[in-house]
Amino acid sequence: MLFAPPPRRLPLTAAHRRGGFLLVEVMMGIALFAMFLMSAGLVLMNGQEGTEMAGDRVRATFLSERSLEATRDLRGVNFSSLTDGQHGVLLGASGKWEFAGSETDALDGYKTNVQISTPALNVRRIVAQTKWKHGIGRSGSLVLTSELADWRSTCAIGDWANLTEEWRYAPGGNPTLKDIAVVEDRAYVVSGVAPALHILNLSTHATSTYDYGGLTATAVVAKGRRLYLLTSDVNAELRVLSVENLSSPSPLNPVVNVNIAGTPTSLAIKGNTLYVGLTNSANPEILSFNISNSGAVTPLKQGQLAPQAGFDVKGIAVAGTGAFLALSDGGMELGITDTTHANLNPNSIHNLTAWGGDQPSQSVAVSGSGLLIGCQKNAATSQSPAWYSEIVNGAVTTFLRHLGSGSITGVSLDPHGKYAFLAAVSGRKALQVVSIANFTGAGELKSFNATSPAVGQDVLYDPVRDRLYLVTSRDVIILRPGGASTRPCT
Amino acid sequence: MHLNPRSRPGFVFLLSVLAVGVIAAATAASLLLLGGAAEHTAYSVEQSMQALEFARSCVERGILEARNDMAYGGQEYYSWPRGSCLILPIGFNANAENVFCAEGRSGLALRRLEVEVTQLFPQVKVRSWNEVKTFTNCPTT
Repeated sequence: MLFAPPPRRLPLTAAHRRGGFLLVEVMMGIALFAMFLMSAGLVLMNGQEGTEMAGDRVRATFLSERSLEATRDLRGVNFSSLTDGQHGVLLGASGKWEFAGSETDALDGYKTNVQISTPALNVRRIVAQTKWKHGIGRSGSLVLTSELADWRSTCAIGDWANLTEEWRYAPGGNPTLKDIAVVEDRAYVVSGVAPALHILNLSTHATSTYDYGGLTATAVVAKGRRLYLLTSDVNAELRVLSVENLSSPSPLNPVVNVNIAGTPTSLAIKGNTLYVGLTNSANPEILSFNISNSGAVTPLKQGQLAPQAGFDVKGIAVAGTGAFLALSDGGMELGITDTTHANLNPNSIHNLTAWGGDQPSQSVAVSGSGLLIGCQKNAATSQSPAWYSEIVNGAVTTFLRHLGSGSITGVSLDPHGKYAFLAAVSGRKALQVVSIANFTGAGELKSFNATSPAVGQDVLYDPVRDRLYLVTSRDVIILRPGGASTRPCT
Repeated sequence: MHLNPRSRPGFVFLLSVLAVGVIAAATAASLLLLGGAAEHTAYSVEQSMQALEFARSCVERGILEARNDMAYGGQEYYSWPRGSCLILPIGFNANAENVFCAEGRSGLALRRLEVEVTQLFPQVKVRSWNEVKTFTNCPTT
């Protein structure tokens, strides 16, 4: 065998055949995997950054909120310390919050400041801003806004044992003025002859009248920019006037025909409910209306105090869930109804004879926990009892009696619990100021005579201004306490 | 057809890469979503806090107005660039009880406060100052 057969080529393995492809595959795999890793890393970093930024924002929110709370705390100490401008807020050495510099540095890179401005009288706008910067892309700022008002001050009351006439409105003739309500700096006085409404600007002392189509009115109450009047229109006694423009009332529809036998005589408002007291009506004696819808008056409930006799409800005052009714009945002078009851059922009817009284009630007022009732003059003794009682859990306690002069048709209480003001249907002592602390004794501190032939009709104490509005049949007299001439709430 | 992985040498690797990639992508997406959710939460916290401050502002204004106006009836609306507040109707009641209900809004956040005041003069006495889910002493809007 000279020629050996050529060696047989071994067959190539798969690996040998695909060696290049394997390298490409590995490279592609690595590239693909790197791309995945990169994108995953980027997304992870992005997600983490979002989480960190969210954390920054939450931290800034709480820092701004802390600044607002600190400012609120400073307001509690002294409202006038909230001066316009930019302040830093920090906890002082005494452990109390105080303004310091124009910015507060937190240790972890946050800076907070509060900017104070005055958008309205006795109101401060507080803008708390927190800024932060934690490297590139981790900076920002956040603002929280709040407003604080000066409602924590204590309102002073003057010395009403020594009163002074500040201003008198006398329209002339005999306007037979009846009742008064105050909205902002306007007093609205209703008249028993047309024009029905006299408007007094308490700031400028400008006056005007509003003729309600020749109607007259006997009672008025106000809520918001709405006046509710009882008018002489027997088919639509209850009327609503808008005083959105304080100087120019405009009637709102619908007018309400109380549509009950009897005469609507007295008005009171509590929340969204208007109460109307009736006289000359056996049943019902008290009505309530829903006035929550601005301008609308929707009947709610009717109440009967006692089925056996129709009481004349001369006055209403509402406190808590009770409506306190001045009843023109010598035997039963005070009724208290449960305003939450479906039929305004009476909780109690009080005969003040047990405390030495027997005169029909004419007027009633509440302030805080005090209840004041004015009664008709006793013809035999020429004395007119007024009653004062504390209200505890909606019920009256012991009655104190003061013997005043003239039939007391208007009563008012000061919210400090110091004075009771009585308006009597007489020229002499048309206004009587009585000390509540000495109500049963010689409690009369001061009296004020109407100018003949006027007689007292109603009285209203204005705690906003520390003024007293005495309505007589012919004029309105604004009285101020001795010495005081500034706004009482400081 | 039966595929033998031994006959497809890159198959295991490719599958592994895909599996790891899918897991990595899912993890990354989750983190992204978590980050977004955290940011959303932060904005919600901010808006919620702001809404509460606006509600507080309304109560502050309401009490002040009630002390300035003997016939104050509430039903007022205040607005700021980042939200608003509404004070519901109240009845000034001869220095007796008044309930101030206010709701503040900022973005989607809504906070409600119900404040019971037993007297306005000579000094305001607050019986309760509560945040509520729904108003119980005031008509709802």
